[in-house]
Amino acid sequence: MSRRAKHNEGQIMIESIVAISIALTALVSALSLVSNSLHYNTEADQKLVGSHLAAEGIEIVRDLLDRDFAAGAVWGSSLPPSPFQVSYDTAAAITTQNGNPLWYNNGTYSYQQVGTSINSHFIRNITATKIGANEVSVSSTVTIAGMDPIVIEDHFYNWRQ
Amino acid sequence: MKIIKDNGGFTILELMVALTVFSIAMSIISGLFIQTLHTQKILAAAIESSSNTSLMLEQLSREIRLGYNFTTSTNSCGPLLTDFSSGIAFRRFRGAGTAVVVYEWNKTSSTLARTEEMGATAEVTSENVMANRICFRVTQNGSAGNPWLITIVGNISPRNLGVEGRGANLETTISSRVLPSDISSIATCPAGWSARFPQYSTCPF
Repeated sequence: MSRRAKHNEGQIMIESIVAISIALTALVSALSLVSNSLHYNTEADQKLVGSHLAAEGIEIVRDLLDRDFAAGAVWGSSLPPSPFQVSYDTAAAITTQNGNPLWYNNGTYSYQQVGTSINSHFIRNITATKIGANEVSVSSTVTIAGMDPIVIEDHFYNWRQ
Repeated sequence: MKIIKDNGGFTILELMVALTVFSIAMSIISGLFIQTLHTQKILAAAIESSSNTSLMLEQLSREIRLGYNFTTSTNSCGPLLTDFSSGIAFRRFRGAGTAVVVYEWNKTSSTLARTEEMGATAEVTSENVMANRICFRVTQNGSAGNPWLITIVGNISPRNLGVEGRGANLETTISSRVLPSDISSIATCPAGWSARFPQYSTCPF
């Protein structure tokens, strides 16, 4: 009787270790699958918003160049030294917000921080390089913490001259 | 015979404990698996919805880029929860003449609709896109001679998945290719405009 009890004790120990390991492995992989899916879901949303914000940066530079033309100024004279920042509600390009996030308030992203503003964690910087007198290469970079930055580049020509 | 008797089977207690442990483990794992499948479904719908949203914004951008004399409805981009509709109206070149184009967001149906030349209204958001909010801002920084800058603000999510409230807060801006100095004459307002679109305080045309 004592021999049988001893024999069975050992088996139970090994069996339970194996069973617990298998259960743990299954649980951990299932959990990582869920957390990965959630992470990608958030990342897809952030990238969608970020890419439109980057495109917005390019468009506002286009507007600045058009304004130079409308005002009869030298084409490209409204672009400050790079990197600079632009937002839809800022009349001119600014260089004071380098590395600062855009503030989200009532649907819009800008550098104006009011009481209800939330840090959007999107950082947008614009780089403009003049290639000759009538061509500007513009690059808009949106940085989101923990993700690869979104970079959009465009070239503008002084075709209205 | 002795060996068989030794391994003669589990007691009912052992069996019950084993079954309980097994069923608890299985229910946790299957719950997680179902959750993963659900997340996967939402993810697929989110990808589809965001590509449809991009397509809608692309169409909108293309038309705005060629438009001029922009005006927004009086309540466009007002405080949240007070805007029940918002829209933008503008003119764009069409053949030898010009056409009046209106984009209107409807809060009740969470859609964006387009009207051209006082004609029939057609939805531009696809069926799986829920436009929780779309509004427009028109900026002409500096003076009236400056180019139009149109900012589109939106909160978009996939439809019918229980995640409507967690949409992405989109914003993008489009600069019109038509400058105020390019417009030679301002056309007159279409007949019946103020009756059909009373939310635009003044006729922009």
